[in-house]
Amino acid sequence: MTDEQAMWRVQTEDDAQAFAQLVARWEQPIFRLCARLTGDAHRGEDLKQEAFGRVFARRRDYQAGARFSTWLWRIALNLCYDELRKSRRRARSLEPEGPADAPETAQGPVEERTPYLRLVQQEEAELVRRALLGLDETLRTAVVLRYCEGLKLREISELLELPESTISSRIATALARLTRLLEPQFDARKTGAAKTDNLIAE
Amino acid sequence: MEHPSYEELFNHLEGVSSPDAARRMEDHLQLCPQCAAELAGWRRSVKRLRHYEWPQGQPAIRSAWSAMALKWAAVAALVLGLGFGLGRASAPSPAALKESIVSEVRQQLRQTLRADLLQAIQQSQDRYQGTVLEALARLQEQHAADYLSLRRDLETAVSVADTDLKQKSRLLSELTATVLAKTVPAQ
Repeated sequence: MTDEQAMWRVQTEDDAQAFAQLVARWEQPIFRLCARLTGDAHRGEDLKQEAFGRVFARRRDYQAGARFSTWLWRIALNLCYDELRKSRRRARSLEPEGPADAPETAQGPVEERTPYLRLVQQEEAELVRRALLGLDETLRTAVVLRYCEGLKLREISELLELPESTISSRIATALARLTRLLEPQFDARKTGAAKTDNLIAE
Repeated sequence: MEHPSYEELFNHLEGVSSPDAARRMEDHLQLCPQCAAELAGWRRSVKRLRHYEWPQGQPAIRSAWSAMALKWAAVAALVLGLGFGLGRASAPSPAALKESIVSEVRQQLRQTLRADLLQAIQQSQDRYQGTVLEALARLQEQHAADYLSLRRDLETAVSVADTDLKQKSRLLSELTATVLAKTVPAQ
């Protein structure tokens, strides 16, 4: 059963099984998108739940014939934008609390990793997370959809209702900024690791 | 030397440039270490975005039992955590305590939301099943009424036909008697 067929069943028959199938297929991509755009795994989890709640609540609004994925991505993106707006308002009303919270980037399957490697990967993922958060929302959205979620340029253009040239331009700018942010930090880590290895060797 | 724009570099990275543009870009990259380094940095950024694993989300829907078990587990963890914290000689910092409480509250809220969503789906499905069963019962009643009505009509038709037949038979007997009386001369 395709996503569209499942959604049609949810829409016309309130089919709980079809809805569960859609959730099972899409919960990870939607969670990842929300976590990456907000930079917070807890908020990503909450937004994912809210996105599926909204899909069910608005099932009658789904246009038969439209792509389910586009509709779902759009709902999740709008929730992320609302959340980011709220966060900015909260941040303005509170005193600055210094650097961002501790990393929320717990890794996936970890059984085969050594604690050291796991730590290194967590730190590197944290660098990427912070660099992404340093981008404007529009640039972050485009680059996350393209390289983290693997959407094609045409699909992003359809989803955001913007010309492909605009999407290309946004991703190019995002890549240039990310590279400026990340390269010095990764270079510094490499240098530090080399020095440590030398010390251990001596 | 004229450097390519970000868009041209991006098209080259994505492999969507025309063959001519791709050749010109390759020639330029051979001669311009600055642009070559820029593009190499972009490639590393793309790899970093794709390569690093991100946290896994929790399943959106769990069974009511599992949700309840998680809720109890969260409460038990909270109680144990508080007991441990109180038992320690050095009390936790307010920031750490706040973080722990926020995390627990978030966890419980998530469980509640999940249970509510599951319940809403179940109720919706029950309503739907109830509607279908009612419609089926109505349909069956209608069928029974139609059958009875048809049977009554049929019996009426049979009865009328029977009466009509008897009447015609009587008329035929009378006609036969009359004809016989006229054709056979009186002895």
